[in-house]
Amino acid sequence: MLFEFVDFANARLAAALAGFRLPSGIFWLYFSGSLLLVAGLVKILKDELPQTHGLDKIMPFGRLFLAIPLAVFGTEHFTNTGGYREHRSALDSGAGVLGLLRGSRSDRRSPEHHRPDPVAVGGNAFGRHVFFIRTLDRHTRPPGTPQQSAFLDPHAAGDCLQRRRFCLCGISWEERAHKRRARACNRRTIFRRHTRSVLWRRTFSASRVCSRSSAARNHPGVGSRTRAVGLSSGHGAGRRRGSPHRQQESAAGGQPVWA
Amino acid sequence: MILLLVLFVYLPILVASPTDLVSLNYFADTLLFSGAVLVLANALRERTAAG
Repeated sequence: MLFEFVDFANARLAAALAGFRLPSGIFWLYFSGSLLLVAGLVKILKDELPQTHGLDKIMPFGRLFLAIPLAVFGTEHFTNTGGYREHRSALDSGAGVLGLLRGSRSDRRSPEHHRPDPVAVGGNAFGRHVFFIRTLDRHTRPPGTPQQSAFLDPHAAGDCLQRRRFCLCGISWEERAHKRRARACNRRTIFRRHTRSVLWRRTFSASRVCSRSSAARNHPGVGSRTRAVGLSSGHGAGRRRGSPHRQQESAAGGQPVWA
Repeated sequence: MILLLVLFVYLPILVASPTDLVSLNYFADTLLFSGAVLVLANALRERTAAG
């Protein structure tokens, strides 16, 4: 709540003492709207209404009706700031990845919107793809925060296998984004959550992996990142750790969790 | 007409669930629309009277 952020803890106390039995966020909406309604009614009934006749008596209320919702919505912006990230669409979340946004993201600029804790990613596979890539992006990480390691469930790893290039209007956004991002993301480590095995260490660059992988050359229809995430039976990173049950994991269910 | 819609449809909804943010949104949105229409009508009337 913004009141706590600006150290207005008394605002919640005032709302409780008001006796309206309303949540503090709702209370301030009614408060601002009622304040404008009373002030506007006093002004209109005292000065403007006697000068009008007939149906025109409703005209002075137009400005009041315009002002009250503006006050309500303006107050809502101050009181109900939570849930902004939850209401963002998957495409909005992926704008940074796709190269549509440059620099810092708008929701990461202010400290009250940053959530460093593990984030449960919902939505479809596209959203998970976007989140997976976006968290590895240096530009979306707040400055000064330590680098993050990724813990992938088997389902998320499976999504990585199915990932294709995003082509919009004939332009491969993914390729452009990774060219710019590959230099910055050379200190990431991706783990698999259950086994804690290392899926990928060093630079994360999907386009580079795709281009260098032998799987991409031999089987272009199959996602070529299998070696990168250690799910293939070749020389993946997971095979280097020697975990026996690593090859038995299927690509079903789960979310990436960041630590 | 829009003001009547606010008074007879959305105001009862708001009264029925005063803590619901959605009902408040309905009410405020439609009230904003009606206010904008009234302001526009007032401005057009004054312009016609002046011209």
